[in-house]
Amino acid sequence: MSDANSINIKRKAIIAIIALPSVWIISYLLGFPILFRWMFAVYVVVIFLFFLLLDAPAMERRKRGGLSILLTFLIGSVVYTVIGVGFPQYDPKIEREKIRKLTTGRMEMAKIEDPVKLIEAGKDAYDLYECYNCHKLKGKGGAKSRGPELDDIGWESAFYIKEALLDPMAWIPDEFDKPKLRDAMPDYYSEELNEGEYKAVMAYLKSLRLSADKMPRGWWTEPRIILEGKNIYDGITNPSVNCAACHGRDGKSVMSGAREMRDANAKGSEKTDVSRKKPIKEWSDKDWFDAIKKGVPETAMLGWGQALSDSDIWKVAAYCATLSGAKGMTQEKLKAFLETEHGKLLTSYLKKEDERKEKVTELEGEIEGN
Amino acid sequence: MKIKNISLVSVFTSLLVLGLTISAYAAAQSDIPEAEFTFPYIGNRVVIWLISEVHLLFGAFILGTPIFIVVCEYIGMRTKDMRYERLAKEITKVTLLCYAFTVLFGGMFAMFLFALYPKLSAYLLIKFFPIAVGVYSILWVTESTLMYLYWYTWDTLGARKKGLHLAMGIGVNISGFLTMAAINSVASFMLTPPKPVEGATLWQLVNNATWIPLILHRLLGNVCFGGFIAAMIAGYMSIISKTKEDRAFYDWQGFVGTLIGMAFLLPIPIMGYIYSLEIYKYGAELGVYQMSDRLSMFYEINGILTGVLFVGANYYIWLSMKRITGAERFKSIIKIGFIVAFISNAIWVIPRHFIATMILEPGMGYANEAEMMASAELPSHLAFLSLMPAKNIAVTLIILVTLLNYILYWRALKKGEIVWGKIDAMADYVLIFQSFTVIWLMAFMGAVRELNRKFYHVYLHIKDYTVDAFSPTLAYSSVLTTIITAIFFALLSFAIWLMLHKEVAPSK
Repeated sequence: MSDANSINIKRKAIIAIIALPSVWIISYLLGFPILFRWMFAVYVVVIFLFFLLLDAPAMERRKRGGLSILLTFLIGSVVYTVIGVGFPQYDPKIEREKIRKLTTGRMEMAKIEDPVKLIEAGKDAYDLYECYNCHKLKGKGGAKSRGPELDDIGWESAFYIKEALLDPMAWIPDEFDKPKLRDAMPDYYSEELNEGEYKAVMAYLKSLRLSADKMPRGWWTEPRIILEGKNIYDGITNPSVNCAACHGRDGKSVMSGAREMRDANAKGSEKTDVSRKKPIKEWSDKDWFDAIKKGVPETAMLGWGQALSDSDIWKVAAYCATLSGAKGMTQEKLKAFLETEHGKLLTSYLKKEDERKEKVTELEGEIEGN
Repeated sequence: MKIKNISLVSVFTSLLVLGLTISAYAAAQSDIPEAEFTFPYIGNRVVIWLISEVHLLFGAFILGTPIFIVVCEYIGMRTKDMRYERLAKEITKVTLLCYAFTVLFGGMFAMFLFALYPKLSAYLLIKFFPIAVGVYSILWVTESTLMYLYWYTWDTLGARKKGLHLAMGIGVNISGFLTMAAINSVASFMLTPPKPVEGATLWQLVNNATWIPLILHRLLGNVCFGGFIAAMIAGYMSIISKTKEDRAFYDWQGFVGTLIGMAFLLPIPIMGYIYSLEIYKYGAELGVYQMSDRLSMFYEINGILTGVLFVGANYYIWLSMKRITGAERFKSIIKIGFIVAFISNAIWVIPRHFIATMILEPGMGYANEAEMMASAELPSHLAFLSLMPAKNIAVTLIILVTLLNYILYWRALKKGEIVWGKIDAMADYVLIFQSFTVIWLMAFMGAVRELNRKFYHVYLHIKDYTVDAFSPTLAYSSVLTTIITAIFFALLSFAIWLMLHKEVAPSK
């Protein structure tokens, strides 16, 4: 080896020795986890070796070229196989077991009657169909942008969940109404699920609720929920519940002593419990829920827990909050949204409830035949 | 081996396969039970995997090289540079033997598929009978006949009727392209059948969501493959060449082959992206399975190997420039380009997390999600590096570096003088290694396309009830891909030696 070459190699080695810890430290400071730092370190080593190759003296022609050709194959074979073996792997048994259940063992679910076991079976089915690839649940699984998080899906009505599962194109939330995401949810579950799986998945999804004291995630500002809440408030959904009769259609009270819903700063009666004395803007989620469910002591406000489901109570609360804008969504914003194309789609979607129910029933019929 | 004998073997095997297909179609009319036979030791899937991949690699070769050959013959005719004529002729000789290999492996593939997966074979045959027996057979016979005629008339038509000879070559390419398009309809149908399948017309079955993207992807891939194989042949021949003239010729051939291979490699990442987008549009869950779930690490390997191809091609330019006088002045700028290429490749392969599935599964070496996230998942402020915009920028940079190096090469040529045959001997092995990489990558990604169907033979339509209905690990697939590549390489090397060793004999 010539002196020039030797100096050249030493120079490159020094650069590599400096670059290796520098890359490690910089990537650490930037927040790269350890495996990524190793990856960058490997790249530094490869670049170093490659640069040695660049300035290597010209190769002599060999008499036994065949052996060198064979060696080239061997290097390629070993390097690529080692890369394949060295990268993260999974245990195929897990997918095999999933497939076994999906292709042969899934009828067992149909026999489950116990509600707790049914939910467990639903979790199994959820995993079998790999719903987690798109939906985040309990912090695990799909990217947020790919499909709605399902932590609070249990608050939705059974019909809504069925429709979202069997006829996903019926309604697409605003944030997912994008060309790439619009039809991302598979529309074949009425053909793929059998009755047992369907029952179990429904039980599992209905069981998913984050907290009984918190407004389900996103509902304070979700136009669909707010409009459903408005229908309850106005007595359209259930004629025996008509909030507007006392609080007025636009939140301006029409009954003496009824809470003025339009003013977020207005306080309630001094006679009422502590939380009611607070202005609306300071109400916690639980304050809203309790006021509707249990009523307000020593006032004419009755508890509506017998007539409304907890889910409906949250919907009414979401609508009421828009009257004063206490939770971010105002009537003006809502109106502006309903003027948009997506808003018009929502109005039309809600109007077609009977038609939608008919379609879901028909799709459920297909499941019975699977 | 005489080319006449090769032609006879090809014709005989083609007829045998055709007869077998028609008999199978007749049998498929009755209810066929699932096969009870399991291939010893390796299982049915591996048998089909091995045979079909080797068949596909030869198929890619015999579809890609005729494009290359005709273009070379045309340039030779226009420029009167006889090197193009020699290049076209020698590659054609190898291609002819590869036709026979393609037919043999195609026949084996059909026979094993009928025997090991009779129900699926019957289903596909009934659905695609006019394509499989009518269109495909006619096209295949046309292509083979034209190819042998193309060869036999090369000298007899001579320079006077070169146009007619070229027209025959174009005919080979057209029929080859249509043959590929016909059989791609079945392959793409299995992944993206029309919705609903029942009642779909033959055209709807053929023109399914990924048919055109698959054709375009394979067309580019095949020409790229042909270019790299031509370069590999040059590498082989240069090593065994005895004279300066031959060495100069194969040095030149290696450069031309690599240039064509690279020219068609450049748009492949974009074409692959379009193909994946169509798969995603057809069924987002397929796209997710591919890019984020069980096949995600396969794409890591794809990124690394494509990076190797680009760096390898640029290294070859580096070696090529060494034989141009006065090209030393570009050394520093090319070195900077290499650093850019390596950094871009590192960004290209950065995954969201270093686990092989979307969510943590038992046996992956982490006790819980938090532990995995701490050591193997990008924190949210760095997550952009795993998304498409970052990848697109990285790929664009690698492509730009490659283009820049070719521009520098031409600039060096303008002022300097090239001495063909004086290239560093290392270049021969670079050419062989590059083609090894292309073959390995092609076999590997072909498997990914098949595995994308998960536990279906025909997605959402025919479930796979066999024990092999799962995605094998990356390690398993890599080992198998290496075996496939070795088989293909061994046969191709044999073909090159058999057909061309006399070309460099000292007595010639």
